[in-house]
Amino acid sequence: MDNFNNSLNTSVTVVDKCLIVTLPNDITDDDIKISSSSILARASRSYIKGTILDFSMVYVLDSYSFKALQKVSRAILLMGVMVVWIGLGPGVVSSLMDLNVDVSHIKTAVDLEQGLKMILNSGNSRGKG
Amino acid sequence: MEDIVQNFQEADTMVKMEILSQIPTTVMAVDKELRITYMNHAGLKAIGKKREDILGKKCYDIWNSLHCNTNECCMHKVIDGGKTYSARNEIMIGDLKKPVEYHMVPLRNENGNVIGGLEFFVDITERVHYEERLKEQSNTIREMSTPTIELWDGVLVLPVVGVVDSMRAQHMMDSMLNKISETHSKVIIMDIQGVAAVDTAVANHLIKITRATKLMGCECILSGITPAVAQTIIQLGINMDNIKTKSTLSDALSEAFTMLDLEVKNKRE
Repeated sequence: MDNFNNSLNTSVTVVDKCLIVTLPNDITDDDIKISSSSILARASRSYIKGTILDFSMVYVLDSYSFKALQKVSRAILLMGVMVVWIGLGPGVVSSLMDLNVDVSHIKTAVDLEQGLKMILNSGNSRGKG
Repeated sequence: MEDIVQNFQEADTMVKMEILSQIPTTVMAVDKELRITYMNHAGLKAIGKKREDILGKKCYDIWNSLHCNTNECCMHKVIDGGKTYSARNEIMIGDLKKPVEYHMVPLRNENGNVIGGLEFFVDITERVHYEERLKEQSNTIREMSTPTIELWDGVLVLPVVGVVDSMRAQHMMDSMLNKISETHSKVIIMDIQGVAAVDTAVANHLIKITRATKLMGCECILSGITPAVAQTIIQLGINMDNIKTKSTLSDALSEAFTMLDLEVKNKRE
């Protein structure tokens, strides 16, 4: 029952063959742990062209959560699905810069529209679209 | 002979009292229970009361300052610790707030036991006023030094002139990030034509800023790299491979248009 409630925190929807994961504003380690497996399971479906992680509700992100999300992104990438992070706020970005984390391999977009465009325009789909 | 000495001592005491009274800042003495035992003319004038009205009254009833009846009260510290203290405070005279700086010295009897404290007030209204103005002006200068301008729909420009230190780099980053989230821009051009010298520290700041904007989904183009600056960067061995760099602002703008799939055309052709 607990698990069910926790996983409700993050919304996972599919729009235009893109998996959109909206992260809650008070993101916890448990949230990520629980939602990551369900995100991965859904991203592995053949018709998914890309995954969008929406940070527009997130105001605070610590280095642990960041690393956990980075791992999730890498895992999705391993399955050949593109991952785009969107809606990172100025405060979150500033704090990530202060934490001096490596962000070079992360694909980002300003908002959902741009993120969807990025995925739909990329030729990196798995052919079955 | 003794009479003369007596007279002389009395006269001396009178002169000292007079000097104390004429000092233009407030001087006040209290006993261990914080009852006022002395106040000079300046102090009486400041609160607009007569000596008879305040002698023996508690000092916190007279001054009503921010520190009164709190742990901050320096008089308590002085009486308990026997040391000298200074602090900034605000006193209330009627409805008027006055910023003051006060210094406290313990008063001792012949045996060296603390019997009370001596208090000096200095009115620092002017100083606080100037400090506030200075703060305001430095804020204005800071905002003037980091103007992020929307040049085109989806294109921002930040011209950088002068010296880039870590403080300024932080402000530049904040200003850029806020503007990006406000305008949802896809490209930001940072023009460093006006930066006289680029050393390792400056370059690191610039790299950090470009990484931050990238994380927000906004590509950063560094423009205005003069031959001298390019040479220094190479000689210092700074790796700027991950950053898009252009020599002039117009080059950067045309690059931005390309990234946004825009085209500038001559109408007659």
